[in-house]
Amino acid sequence: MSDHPYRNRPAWTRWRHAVVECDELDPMTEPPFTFGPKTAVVTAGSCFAQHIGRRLAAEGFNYLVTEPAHPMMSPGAAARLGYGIYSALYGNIYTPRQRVQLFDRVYGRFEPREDVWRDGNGAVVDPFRPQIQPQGFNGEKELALDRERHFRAVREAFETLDVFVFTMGLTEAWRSRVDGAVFPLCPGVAGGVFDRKKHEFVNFDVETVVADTRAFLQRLRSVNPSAKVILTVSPVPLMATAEDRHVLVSTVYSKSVLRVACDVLSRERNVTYFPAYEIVASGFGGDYFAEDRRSVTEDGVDHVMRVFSRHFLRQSRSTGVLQRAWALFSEKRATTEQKVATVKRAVGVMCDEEALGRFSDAKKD
Amino acid sequence: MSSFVAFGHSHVVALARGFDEMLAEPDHPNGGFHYLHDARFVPNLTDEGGRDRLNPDLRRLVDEVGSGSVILSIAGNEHNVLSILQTFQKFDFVLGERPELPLEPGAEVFPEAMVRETLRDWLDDGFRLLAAFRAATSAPMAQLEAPPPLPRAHVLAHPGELLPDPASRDKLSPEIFRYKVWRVQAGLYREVCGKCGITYVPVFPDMVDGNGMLAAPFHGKDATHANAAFGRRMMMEAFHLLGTQ
Repeated sequence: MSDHPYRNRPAWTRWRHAVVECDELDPMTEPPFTFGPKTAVVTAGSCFAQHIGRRLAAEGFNYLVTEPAHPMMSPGAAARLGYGIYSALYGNIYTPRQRVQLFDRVYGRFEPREDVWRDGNGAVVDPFRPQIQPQGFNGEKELALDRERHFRAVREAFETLDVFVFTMGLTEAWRSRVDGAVFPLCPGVAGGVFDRKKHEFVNFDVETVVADTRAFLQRLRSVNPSAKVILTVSPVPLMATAEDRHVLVSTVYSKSVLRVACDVLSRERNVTYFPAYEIVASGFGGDYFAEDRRSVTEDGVDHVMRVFSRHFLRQSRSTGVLQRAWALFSEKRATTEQKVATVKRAVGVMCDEEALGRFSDAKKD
Repeated sequence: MSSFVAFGHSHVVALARGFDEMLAEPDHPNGGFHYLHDARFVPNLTDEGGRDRLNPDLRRLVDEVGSGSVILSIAGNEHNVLSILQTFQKFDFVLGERPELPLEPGAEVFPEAMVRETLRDWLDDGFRLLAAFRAATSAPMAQLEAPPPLPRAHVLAHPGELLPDPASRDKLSPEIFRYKVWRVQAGLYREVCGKCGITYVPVFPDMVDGNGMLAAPFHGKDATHANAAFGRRMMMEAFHLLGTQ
């Protein structure tokens, strides 16, 4: 039998071995880099990216959060206000254009003209983070100060990260006709007023996605030369399309564009692609969509993170490192909780003494 | 039959003392005051089929008021717990209703929502109790605003266990910051009372001094409470708003 290129290829190149007969679908091959528990990892992207950061933190890895909640915040308040979902409070970043725009904004290279919206209740909304404050900002002064703080945090993230995991979600976007600023949500949906004269729909193609990502990589490396990037494509379908066609057709177009772009970009230095999309959306790993056929189930996230961990995370972390990290985090929170408890006790004593003077049967706390 | 019944935590004491001063006057309403940490009222809420219901003794007292009024002074010192000492990394925020108020130099500026949502969690028990009172009766009902923070000099003169040593005195927060947190708490109470259908009775403007602190004529005996003069004015206003005869 003559030789040919398919002879002696690795098992993962053969469908029967790699998809049909595998114990668990693992479409990842050897990544160009791995990282350990001290590697500073930043995440950003569409909603699927939230799972990655959450899981990294839970496994004791150095998930970098440069815009943390103040220690005195209640955990519930921190969660409601979105702290810790991403490395900084940028909210969902759906397209590579938004990502390069964010970079330019935080380094003062781009100041969009349309930088304040109002919602239906008159509250101030950040057009580039329209859902970051559940009831909006209390005024333009608060938004301006928060934006300053946020930009500092994003710069810190870009400059100190070792690995940046970006999940691309969409190709469809709405942008300003005035200066090209791209909004994460169409004006009018969560603030602002839609105006056809000021806003236009855009559906980015492969060339643009690749160009925008290369532009971002160049900028990132200008402040952090050794940064490594992991690209993924969110498996979550579009909630709605602005194209005049079926949303499923638009979804496949968008995901295809992003997937092709990732393939081109993964040939860049220190850039690699992680196949979260293939694990969830191909259907060959399992049915990982919830009843709404958009949300990814926890089983799906588990599968994705198992594959991610297996290939990227160096499992040589020592118990000591994990314990030290956890201890530091716990100590800070415990110290703050102790301080709050001390003040509560002192105020409680005052309350008891006030009441005891009047209500003789008062129960002491 | 009582024309009102009042319930509260420690701030109810000032209301009760204020009402005591009205007893000598003709045509004062009849009613009584009850401290929610009284052993017979604890726990204040019971779980009945997954819903909060008032403790049976509280319910009985509410039922007894009939067509009278229910006056509440539930919780309310949480703003002091959050603001009185700068034991955390120093922070400040822009108060939406008074954005012109200065920010503390060197403090990290967070959105007001951070204070609001933290207080919302800390006050959750109190808000559930408000809702349970509302659900227990259709009688006219009011929640009286907690007094503003007390001035620095007064806190230092009556530190209690808050400032156990001289070094801790430096940790007392600026008055403007404490005022802001009190206002955020007031906003939360307004929001919750509005949703429940409870009249919210704010403090009078003359009870707040130029620095946002409780004015001198209304100071209580410690670092966080008001006196009978405060209580009397607040009770009279509650009677007026609720039409209490």
